[in-house]
Amino acid sequence: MITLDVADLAVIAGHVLGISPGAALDRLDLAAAQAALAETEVVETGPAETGPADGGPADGGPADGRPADGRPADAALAATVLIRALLRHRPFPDRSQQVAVAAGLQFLALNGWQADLDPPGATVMVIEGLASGQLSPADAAAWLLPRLSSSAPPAREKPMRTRLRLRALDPPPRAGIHTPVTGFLPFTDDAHDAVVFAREEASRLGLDHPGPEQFLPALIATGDGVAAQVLRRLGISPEAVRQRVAQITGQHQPPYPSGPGTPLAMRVMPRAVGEAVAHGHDYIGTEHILLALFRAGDDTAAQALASLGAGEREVRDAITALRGEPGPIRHAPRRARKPVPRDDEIRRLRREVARLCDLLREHGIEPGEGDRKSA
Amino acid sequence: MTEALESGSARTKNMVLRLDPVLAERLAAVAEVEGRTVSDVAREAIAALVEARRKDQRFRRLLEDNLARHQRLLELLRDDQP
Repeated sequence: MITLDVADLAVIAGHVLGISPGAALDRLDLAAAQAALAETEVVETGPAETGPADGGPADGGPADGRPADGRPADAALAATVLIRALLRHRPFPDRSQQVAVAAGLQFLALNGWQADLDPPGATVMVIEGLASGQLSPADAAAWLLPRLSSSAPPAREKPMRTRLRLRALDPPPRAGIHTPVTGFLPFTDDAHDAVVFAREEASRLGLDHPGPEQFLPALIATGDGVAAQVLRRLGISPEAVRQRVAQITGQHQPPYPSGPGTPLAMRVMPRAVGEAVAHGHDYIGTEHILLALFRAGDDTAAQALASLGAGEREVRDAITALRGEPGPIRHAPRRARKPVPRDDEIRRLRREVARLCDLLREHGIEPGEGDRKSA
Repeated sequence: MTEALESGSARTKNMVLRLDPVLAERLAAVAEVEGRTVSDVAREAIAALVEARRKDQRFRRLLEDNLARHQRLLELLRDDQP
């Protein structure tokens, strides 16, 4: 479940109060905010379940089949605990009820839930009951639950979010990749986690950079990511991946060349950027990294996946099916194209191919023979 | 650990941070390595988080949708007393 942090509260309060987030931060009682958020973390430590609840009108996920985060009952309780905590601690002294309700609604929305709070008069009574202590969060959650419906979040991974408690003191995280051609492409949360996992695993092995054999287990370890979902759909378990990667890398000593600027390692992320661009996405998700592993110049990950029945084509098809969107331009099925493309379409495709080739060269990768032929 | 953020000018305010020991240790380590005060590092970290969230388009869109959809409710709550 996505939780709110102090930065979220500042932005929400800024909107509610009609001031900038910075001005809202100036008005923030940080200790009160931390105390309020700490109360919500008690709820967060409960078992995280995903999927439809056992009953009730709010059951079911979004129309695209992707479930909202957590059961509606959990979301309702977490929201009312958050609202009650903000009402009690009043991190923003001005219009604290508005800020608390706005924060509760935003929490629900971030987790894929939408509340129908009409008529507003009844909601005001519930909020006042929470504020006075006459209603418990559980009582309010029971009232809220039948008013929740899935808000059908877009079929993409959660955007990169940081948590103040753990990351605020780190240098700004490298939360994406910037290239002169594409600009800044942020990692999704899951992609960021996968990169961190892969780096940690590479570090544990004494490598300067993670390679495909570190990325693949890291991708599947991010259970909510598109890559992990796709591999699960293909019947591939995390344990099977780890075992197969270990078998393959065990046949090559050393499994992966180490040292600064290892060309092989440096190819994964540029390829992931290429996959994101080819799909027309403005972010880098786990699926882009997964696809990049097939073209990273090392066949460890590809071998492991192929031996488990998931070749590049199967993986691409599964990603396309999961996302319910057309595949990348360069992988569009030829039979779907018009027999005689129009001139403007040909020019557009040529520009696109040239742009992608430039992107690869930008990262020291010469497009392969196949690419040139298709260009 | 309790750390008071000192106010050096009219643009700053006093805040009290109650940090868990691990976080406090990391905060102190970063400040020492970078030769800055704990207050500066903490203030910068919070400001950076706020700025990042402000630029989060999905977050902003959801928030604006929510506030618009529940405008009547929020108006009714407007008069709560400090």
